[in-house]
Amino acid sequence: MGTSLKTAAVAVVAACLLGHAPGVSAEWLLDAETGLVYESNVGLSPLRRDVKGDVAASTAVSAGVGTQLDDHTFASLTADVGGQAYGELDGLDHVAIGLTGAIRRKLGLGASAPWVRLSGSGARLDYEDDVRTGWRYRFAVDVGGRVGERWALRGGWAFEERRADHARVVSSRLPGDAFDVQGHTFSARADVAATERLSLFGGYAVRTGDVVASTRRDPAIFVASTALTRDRALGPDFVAYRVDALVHALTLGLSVAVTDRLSLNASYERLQGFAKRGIDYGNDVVRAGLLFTY
Amino acid sequence: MNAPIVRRLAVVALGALALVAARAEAGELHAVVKDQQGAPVAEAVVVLVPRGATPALRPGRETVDQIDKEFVPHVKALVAGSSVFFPNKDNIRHHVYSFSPVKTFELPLYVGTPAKPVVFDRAGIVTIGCNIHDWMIGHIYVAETPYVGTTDKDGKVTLEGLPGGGYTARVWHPRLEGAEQATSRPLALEASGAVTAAWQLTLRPELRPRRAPVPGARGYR
Repeated sequence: MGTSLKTAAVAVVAACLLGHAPGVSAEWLLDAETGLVYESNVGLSPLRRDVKGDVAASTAVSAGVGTQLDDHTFASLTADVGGQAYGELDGLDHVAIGLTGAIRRKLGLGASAPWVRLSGSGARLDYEDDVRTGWRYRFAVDVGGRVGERWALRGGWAFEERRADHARVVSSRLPGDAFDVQGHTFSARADVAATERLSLFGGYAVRTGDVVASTRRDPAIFVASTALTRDRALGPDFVAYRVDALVHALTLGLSVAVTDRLSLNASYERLQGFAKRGIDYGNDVVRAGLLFTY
Repeated sequence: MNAPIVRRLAVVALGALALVAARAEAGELHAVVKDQQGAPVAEAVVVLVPRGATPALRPGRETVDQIDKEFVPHVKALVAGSSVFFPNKDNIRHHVYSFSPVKTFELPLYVGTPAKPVVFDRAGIVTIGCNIHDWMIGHIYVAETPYVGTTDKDGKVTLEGLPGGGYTARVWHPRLEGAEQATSRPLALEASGAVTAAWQLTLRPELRPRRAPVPGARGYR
């Protein structure tokens, strides 16, 4: 937790420095989110016997500063703190503390002008079961724009890498760094204003890269894996393995504006992963919560 | 008390009496605007156009503020030829623009009040926006007549000082379904006294870019 505190301190200092930089007319930014997340297959297991569902209480707060660099460019730096507490699988409880920097450029004048956003973030992940504890880095490019009065479209690419502090070897044939993963995600999303207060959104994403999943010992899975380590978060006889997979994600959601700064949101996401040797899994994720922005 | 002072006081008193008399002889329009559900419609613009010669317009100096990332007022009615200042009362910068053919302009990134106002010399409707905060939309109704007003939260507005005679009255609102001309109706006003007129408008949903947060969408950030 000491590293997390240092990360938080750096984040706050950096945000304050940007906020007080000479000649910069900066504004404070605050986003806060809280809600519940249900996952039907938390461990992404391909085997029915190992599938475990759970509900987590989720909270995230992002605070920082942003400034308009010129007529079309907005830069922001935020400190991000979040966490999840699971109902049964306590080993998955975690906090994440990090920094996000972003630059958004609007390519023209008016609400319909397209935009492009570059962002980078780094976060320290502290898990109850420390085999997962480590760092997460993410770089993304998103583009979007409004189409007519009702529609907003966006698409993007993101690269994400996660590095665990520990690599506990449990097999003589495979490395133990199963939680060192990276992948590329390509996504597209559409938002439509159904009424003045109700927005609907749907998206599709495809991710290629490493996936870490959990199972009880299974020879067929081990043959396809590139790393293996223990995973007590899912159970005493579970191991975590890393495979190269293609994951499709389909999301549908709705957002109700409660006030200008607060919304009530719900979404459903279907994840379907395909790895070598028929190691396929599915996961249904349902989210419901409140989102506040200032 | 010497004679010049007495004469001056007499002139002032006569002038005041003349103004009061003219006021008493002028007509008034009490306009009430409701929507399709019968709810009061605020920020509806009520316009009266004389059937005869249009009286001389008296353009004014008006203000549309930017407060808490919104245009205040959201709808501003004014007389053609008026100039408008756009003070930014937020502690961040705004970038005001309009694509409307009636008045196209741009006030690039600024804080405070721009030194020069924007002159709205043609009648019509001007939609203004902020290029940073897309939900910031405002409307300026530029009237070809001096007799124009905006309804309050009760959907009411009173136009005063109206000479007697025939008029065409009409109503506009940013969410009006259909053409403004479809709301036109003839009105006859006596030289003094009040006339009440009511409109029931069909309004479209407000679909400007939403300010409330949406998961996964970061707005202008």
